[in-house]
Amino acid sequence: MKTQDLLCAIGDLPQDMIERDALPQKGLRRIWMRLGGLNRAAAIAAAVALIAGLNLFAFGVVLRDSRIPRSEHSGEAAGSAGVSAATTTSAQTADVTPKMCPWGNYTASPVRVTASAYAPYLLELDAQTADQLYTAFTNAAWEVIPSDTVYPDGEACSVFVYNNGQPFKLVFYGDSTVQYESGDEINRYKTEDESVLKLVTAVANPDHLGEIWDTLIWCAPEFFTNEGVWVTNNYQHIEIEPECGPAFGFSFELPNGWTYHGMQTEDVPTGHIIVGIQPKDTDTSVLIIEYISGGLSVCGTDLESKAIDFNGHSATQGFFGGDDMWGFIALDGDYNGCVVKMNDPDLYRAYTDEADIILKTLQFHFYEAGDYSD
Amino acid sequence: MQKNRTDSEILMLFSAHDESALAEAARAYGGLCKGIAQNILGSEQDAEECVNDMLFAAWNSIPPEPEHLRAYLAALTRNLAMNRLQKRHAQRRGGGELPGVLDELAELLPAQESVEQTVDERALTEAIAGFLRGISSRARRVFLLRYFSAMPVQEIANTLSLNENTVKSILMRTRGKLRVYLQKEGYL
Repeated sequence: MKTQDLLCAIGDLPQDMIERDALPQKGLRRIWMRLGGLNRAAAIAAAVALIAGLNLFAFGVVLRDSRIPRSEHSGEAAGSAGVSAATTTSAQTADVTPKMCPWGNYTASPVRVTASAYAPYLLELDAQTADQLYTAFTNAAWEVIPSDTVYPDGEACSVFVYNNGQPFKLVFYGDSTVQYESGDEINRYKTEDESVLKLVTAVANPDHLGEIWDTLIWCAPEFFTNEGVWVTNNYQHIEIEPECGPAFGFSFELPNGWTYHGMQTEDVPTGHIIVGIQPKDTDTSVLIIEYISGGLSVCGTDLESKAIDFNGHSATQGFFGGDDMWGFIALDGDYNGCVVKMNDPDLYRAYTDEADIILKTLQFHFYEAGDYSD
Repeated sequence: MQKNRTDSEILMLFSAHDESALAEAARAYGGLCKGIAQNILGSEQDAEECVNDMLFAAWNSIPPEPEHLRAYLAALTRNLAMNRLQKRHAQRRGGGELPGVLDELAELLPAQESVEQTVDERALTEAIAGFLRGISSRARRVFLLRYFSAMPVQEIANTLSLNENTVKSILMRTRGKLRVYLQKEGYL
């Protein structure tokens, strides 16, 4: 057999396998263009199958908080329950009366969801599912409820809508209330619409979560904002484990275009983990993250230090020789030995935004005694 | 702005021998197919010509209507691009991603290839499909993006939000598993 035989055999694989696994997800190209390359995580093809078994109901609609007419979109359910719009002309029939989504016309906008079943990951809805959700929102009856309505206990499902750079979030609670959040604006609604509730339940609790798990988008807590969920996949979640415990490992979000390199001493594998982090186009690490069993030793000459909070832990920030840029951050107490060093202040100043994301998302994790080398 | 037609609408145009089928197919999947062709051929101009060839081939081969139009057009493009590469007798290192893909697939094969051994291509395809169905969806996706679409490793990493080294590692492990599988099945 020759390599050409293998290539030809792969080229003749079943179309369903090619469609599902060998090509970029359907609808993603449109989203890439819309987000200028930010949104390159895989869309969820499986969600189509997830939703496919649901029957959508068309209810009589009294839309109470409409904003923007849905003029371009033509969903299948559009003709079943129209709104008596004041602007309807004699040429318009009931079947083509524009219906409205309470949150404006955001058709074709990317939509990401998170729920307790897969948080802190995000599920990006494929275009078809997002459109079904939009249609259901548009056709549903929404009741505006007072802002001081008591929030229910239990789980909630958050739906993030990119909305052409004007992102908003809808939080669905177990008592059929919904909170709309955009900037400082918060509005609350209630709906009993079955199609909305079924769709939200389906995306919050996928039946075959294991199959779509690899396509979920990691989202660090710092990115769980209306804007942050759309840039979270500009970063990769990196976890550095010790070869064996007891020792500390760490995790952080690595910006695209950055790299890291690590090493661990061979003689005492639990004693010292060191990782340098830098932009790919530079030769020098900006930050160095270390775990040093026994703690950091520094020369006290010309050292100034101050106590700080570092991502929820008490820490010491050290400054050398009167520098205004810190030289190291050493965690205290139970996290003794966990250290961040400023390796190149000039590079840090040049890449402050990215470096600060690394620092803000850096977490140290304790590993019990054991072998983690595999 | 003109609305893209659905696959079934495009297929109906092909079946009706309506020439607008070509424009609609190009509008819907021209970019995707050009990307695949460019991955293989390494030349934008060749890729554009390859997409034109693909549209011509689709015009001649539909009906019957394929089950998945996008996958069908992508497979046509891929095979046409490979044929084009062979025809022009490209240098091994002269194409796009294909030389790297060939090198990686060559690792699967014994050092001494037996020229006498003929391969039942259809059976081999079924065997590889069976292997791919048995591995994780992530590994299958990485494998096919690389060896069907000839996508560069970095692009796969970006597409799937993975580290480049993770992609390379998945590819290496999957090739290793495939080699063992093909040995057991008597292909190697």
